[in-house]
Amino acid sequence: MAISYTDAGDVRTINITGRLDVEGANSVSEQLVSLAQAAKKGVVVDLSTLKFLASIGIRALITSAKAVKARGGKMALVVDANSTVAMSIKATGVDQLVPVYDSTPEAAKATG
Amino acid sequence: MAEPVRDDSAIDESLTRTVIARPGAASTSPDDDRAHYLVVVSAAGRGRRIEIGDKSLVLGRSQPADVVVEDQLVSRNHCRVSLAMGELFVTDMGSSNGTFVAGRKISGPTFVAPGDRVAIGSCMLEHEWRSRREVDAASAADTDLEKAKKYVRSLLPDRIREGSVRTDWVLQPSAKLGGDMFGYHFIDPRTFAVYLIDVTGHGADAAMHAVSVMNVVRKPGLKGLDARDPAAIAAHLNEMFQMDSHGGMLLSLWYGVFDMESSTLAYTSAGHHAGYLVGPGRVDALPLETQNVLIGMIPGYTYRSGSMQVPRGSLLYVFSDGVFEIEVAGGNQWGIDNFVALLTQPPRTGMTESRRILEAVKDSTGRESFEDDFTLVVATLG
Repeated sequence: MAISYTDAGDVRTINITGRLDVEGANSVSEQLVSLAQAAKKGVVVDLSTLKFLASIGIRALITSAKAVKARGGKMALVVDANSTVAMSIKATGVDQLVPVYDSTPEAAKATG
Repeated sequence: MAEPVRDDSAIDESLTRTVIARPGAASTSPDDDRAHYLVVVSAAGRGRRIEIGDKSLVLGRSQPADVVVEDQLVSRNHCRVSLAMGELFVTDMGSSNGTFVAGRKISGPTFVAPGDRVAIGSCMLEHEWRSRREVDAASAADTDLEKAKKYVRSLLPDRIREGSVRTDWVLQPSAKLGGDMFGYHFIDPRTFAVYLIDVTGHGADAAMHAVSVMNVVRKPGLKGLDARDPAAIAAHLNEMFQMDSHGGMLLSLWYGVFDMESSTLAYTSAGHHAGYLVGPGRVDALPLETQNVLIGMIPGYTYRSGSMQVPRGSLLYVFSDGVFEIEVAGGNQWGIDNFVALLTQPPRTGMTESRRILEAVKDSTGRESFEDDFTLVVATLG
């Protein structure tokens, strides 16, 4: 599991790969919440290569989305529509709080 | 015949000489109460802690090994661990499957650095070099977690073995204690409610939150609130347990109400995957799911519910994600489709339905224990 980010203009793209499961979720969750606090208008969280998303990760996504919204920014997710990650996002209703896209350019366009 | 036990292996002098100069090696200062431990980090027996003192210890499958590791792949006398010059060494004792340190199969006495892992059979142990005081404090926290587990268990309902509605369940808590809770009760003589919640995260705080939410589900205690209305219950919990005022915790809920006279089942899934209904013929499993969000996520959210006619004698399965979010060999993910396929398989005599499913999941995933709570409630709706 790894977390990294790139800044381009007014959009920060955070990439999480591997498995966001119980074992490593706490540290990655904290990093995600803190990376999402950047003074950027848009925050894109790219989960398209993430293999597994545990509920603790869902919580970090929601916390980040609320924080971004509270400072007037926009957050979007990039998810592989056929993955178990997409299923978790849909079942928990995260897609009703944060828009979900198939690709990073689309998501960046929507948040920038 | 017993395997030969080698005599206490002499530690290779040259090895010890090369490591005693290592920075941070065992100090002899009287204030330093650090000790060497091997801690089981693999699933079976996770958390078991073995202190290595002046006396060397033999790890093996059965007595007279000093430390018994019940694992078919472990030899009767598998390896010896000992201290030399304040450092930990492990020596294989001619085991069938070998001893591994930091992923490498060892031959002679081998130095184990703090943080290195020692593997014997399917058991993985990690070397910790820690203060005894710190270890004692941590084990006190583990004891508290054990108490929390017992408490959660004491709140679970009895199985209903007779009558037109019958229930059985399994809850196998994970080592870390997840936030699963479930319950059921008769709202009135003709109406049966069954529910399961799963709080995000793990540990005593998630379990405590689950307990307080469950107390509200059992007795909503609000005038004008109809416990027979799943959407109203979800909305009520959502008002009470917003994440901002509850330590950032969220939860998913599946709540169903069965009216025995009309044989209808009303349900809501709030941020929770589907419950499943299997008819008496066990032909297929029907998902019961409504598009909603987690409880505590969006203030004022309007929850949706669904309703259906239920053939008498149908089985309702309500479960947490721990029953299907399971990592299997090769890092692959076992999933809900695999789980649902087990539901329509025939019952097994002498075994409750929930136990049958638990055993089938173990068979299918090749695992004995799981990372998350395994919680499954089965209700027969007559």
